[in-house]
Amino acid sequence: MIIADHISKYFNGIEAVIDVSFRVGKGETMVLLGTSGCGKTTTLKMLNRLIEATSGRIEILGKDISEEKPEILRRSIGYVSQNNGLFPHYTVAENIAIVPRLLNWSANDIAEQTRRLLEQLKLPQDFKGKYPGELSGGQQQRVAIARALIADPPVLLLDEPFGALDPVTRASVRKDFTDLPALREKTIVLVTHDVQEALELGDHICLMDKGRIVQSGTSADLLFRPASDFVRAFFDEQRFLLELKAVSLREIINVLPNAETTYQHYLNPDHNLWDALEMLSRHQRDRVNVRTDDNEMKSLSMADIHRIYNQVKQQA
Amino acid sequence: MEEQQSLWAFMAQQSDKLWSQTVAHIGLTCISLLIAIAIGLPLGIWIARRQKAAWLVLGIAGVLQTIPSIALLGFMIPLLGIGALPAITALFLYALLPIIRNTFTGITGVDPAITESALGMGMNSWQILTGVELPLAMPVILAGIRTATVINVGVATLAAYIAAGGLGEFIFGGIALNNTQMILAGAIPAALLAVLLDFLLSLLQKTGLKRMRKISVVLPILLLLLSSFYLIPYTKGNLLAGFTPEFMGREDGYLGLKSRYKLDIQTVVISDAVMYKAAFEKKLDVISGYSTDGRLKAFDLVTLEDDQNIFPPYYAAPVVRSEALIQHPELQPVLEKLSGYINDSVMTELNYRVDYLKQAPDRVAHDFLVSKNLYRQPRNGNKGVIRLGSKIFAEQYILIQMYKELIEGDTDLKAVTKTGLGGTKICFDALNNAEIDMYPEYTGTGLLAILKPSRAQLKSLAGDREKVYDYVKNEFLKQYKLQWLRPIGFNNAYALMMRRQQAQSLNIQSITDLKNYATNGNHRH
Repeated sequence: MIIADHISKYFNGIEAVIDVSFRVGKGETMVLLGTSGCGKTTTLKMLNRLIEATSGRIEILGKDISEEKPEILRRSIGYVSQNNGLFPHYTVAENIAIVPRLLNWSANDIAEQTRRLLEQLKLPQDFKGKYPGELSGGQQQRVAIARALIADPPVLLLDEPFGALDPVTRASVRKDFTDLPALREKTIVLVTHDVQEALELGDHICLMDKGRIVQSGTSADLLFRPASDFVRAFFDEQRFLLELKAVSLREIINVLPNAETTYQHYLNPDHNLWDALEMLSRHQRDRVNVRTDDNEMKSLSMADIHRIYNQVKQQA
Repeated sequence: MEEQQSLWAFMAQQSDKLWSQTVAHIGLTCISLLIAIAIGLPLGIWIARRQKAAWLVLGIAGVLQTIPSIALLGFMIPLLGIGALPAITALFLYALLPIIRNTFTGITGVDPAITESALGMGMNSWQILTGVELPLAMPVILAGIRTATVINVGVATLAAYIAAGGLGEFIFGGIALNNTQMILAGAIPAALLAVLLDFLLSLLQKTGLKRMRKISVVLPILLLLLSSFYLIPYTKGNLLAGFTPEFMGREDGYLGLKSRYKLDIQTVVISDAVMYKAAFEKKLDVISGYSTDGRLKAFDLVTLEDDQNIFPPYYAAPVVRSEALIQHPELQPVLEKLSGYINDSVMTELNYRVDYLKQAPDRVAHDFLVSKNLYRQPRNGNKGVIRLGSKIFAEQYILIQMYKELIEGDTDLKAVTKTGLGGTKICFDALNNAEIDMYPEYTGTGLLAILKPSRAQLKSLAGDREKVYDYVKNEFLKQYKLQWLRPIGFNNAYALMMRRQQAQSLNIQSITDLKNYATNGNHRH
């Protein structure tokens, strides 16, 4: 659990972050979203004291971080930076082993955990002896993630972890990342400027501008109930897509009719309206099926999607 | 002319000396390098952390680098005397800049994303320095060490000027004695040494980022090993003699001392410029000086009687290109005007005023001409230009200034001086190649350093100054079309010198006394 309480940061009198407060619960992912220079990375780095807050209080796992030794604090926080920050003179295995070595793990434990993480991140085991320069950008980023996760830190800080990758690689690295079993227990703060990434990964989004949080809430809050013109304008470019993605089938499943026909492919409640639209288009049908958690089959048509979308918009 | 030996023959014959000089050279280079790394590396790291101090530290190291090496050695003598200590200090100061600068550049050049992620993972600043910054900066730091090494191998040749040994002994001896083989015997190993050390370090540099962590261990050990080569050359013996490179190789010098007197004494090679002071400061006990040198008087030294006559007296006289005399017939009478005005004691006095009272040679020369009523106002003529050369010591500076004033006062010629042409070889080559028109030379030097007659021929001259003068005059005209004019009047001869007090307390008055003392003294050990 992370609590930021009225934190501010001034660089030589110039304000970079002003009076920011948030809370991230255990197992939650919070996204700091904004354009470059909005203060999101500065906010992130204050959480592991790479940057010291000028004022305010930060609590991680119930302890005030200013009272801890920075090195000790950081060893319990996984950190992935934008340009992966891998040591070019260390092998993949040595890079991954940095934190465990600082924590005096045994060589056996390090080897075992390294093997497991490489497997989960879909990296071949013989990469252990390679140097980062011999890997592709996507592979490097996977190694950086493995390095941040190996010591099983309860908290994970990610600074645009997929920012330097091309869209195809980004999607695949992101998918394997979100599939990691270790992630469910973790408290995560993610910095990004990518709106779709924010909506996809964030349980909770803080939109920042000029050092302040302009609005925080779920993706639906930000899309359908924008607090200001800035927030509205921020999502305008892909609004329709984003809004469809922001409505999960779970929210509307009760109003759907039961299915009359059975299809091979069906959706589940974690999918959203955009996924339904995509399936309709892909299979060239006028209905798709959604299987509820209780194994009931519900049906959703193009007309339903249109109606539900309009209802959601009006409610907001 | 005695036939010149081949280079190989010379190197084989002198292999003992060559080996010990090479070892001393490697030792000097590596010790100074090791100290420079031990100080420069932490300093470079420190200024990489405090960039505000960087300009100051780099500025100071940069200024040190711009001091001419020979001047830096000169500064060292009053502070640290002669021998290994000032030489190593000077070399250390030279090696400092490339090492500090490259350490600074290397460390500030490490990708901040890498150091930040190291911090983010919980490494402390020492772990980041040794585990991340130094290994990543190592190629750049090694490049700085390579630069420093090559500089030091070169500058270490100058260590021979202050009795610290090294390959400079052959190089400067060869220049002074007009012996190309000797110059090459010093210069080629020095060049090879620079290439070799540079190559070895380039191997280290190319081992790649991956093994950089090992290099930080290997390099200091390697340097320490090489440094241990250098053993301070004089550890035994009761008296220490410092001789100039030229004296070391001359028949009427150290060679004669050994063959005629059987003198067995510990020697170091040292430059004429610092030798007298070193004797005065008890760093040396016996030195090879010139009989007219002003510093003899200044430092209270006494000359030892040459009871076996190995240092015959020689005339000083102007040597002029024949073409210049033909082109400007008025030149010869002017250049011979000084004849008879300067005897040994007058020359010693004039030298004393420059060497010890620190008067400018120009002024000493001018005052002398005025006092002898030889001075005329310059005519500012433009009939032609006469180029006057001189070796680098006071006597020659004074003489050349007198000639300049005489030429410009008595003729319509203009005189330009090219002072400080180093040793005999440089002056003679400049004259022979018509780069200068005249310089003052000594008949003995002309005989032994340039003409190099056979032993039989030498014997027939028997150290008689008239015979030597005639022989040299004829041979120079015949072989080089260079004209020896009428001698100035004073003699310049080598002499062995000691501190007056020491000579008296040991009861040494002649070179034979010295030989007896040195031999017995050595036997006592």
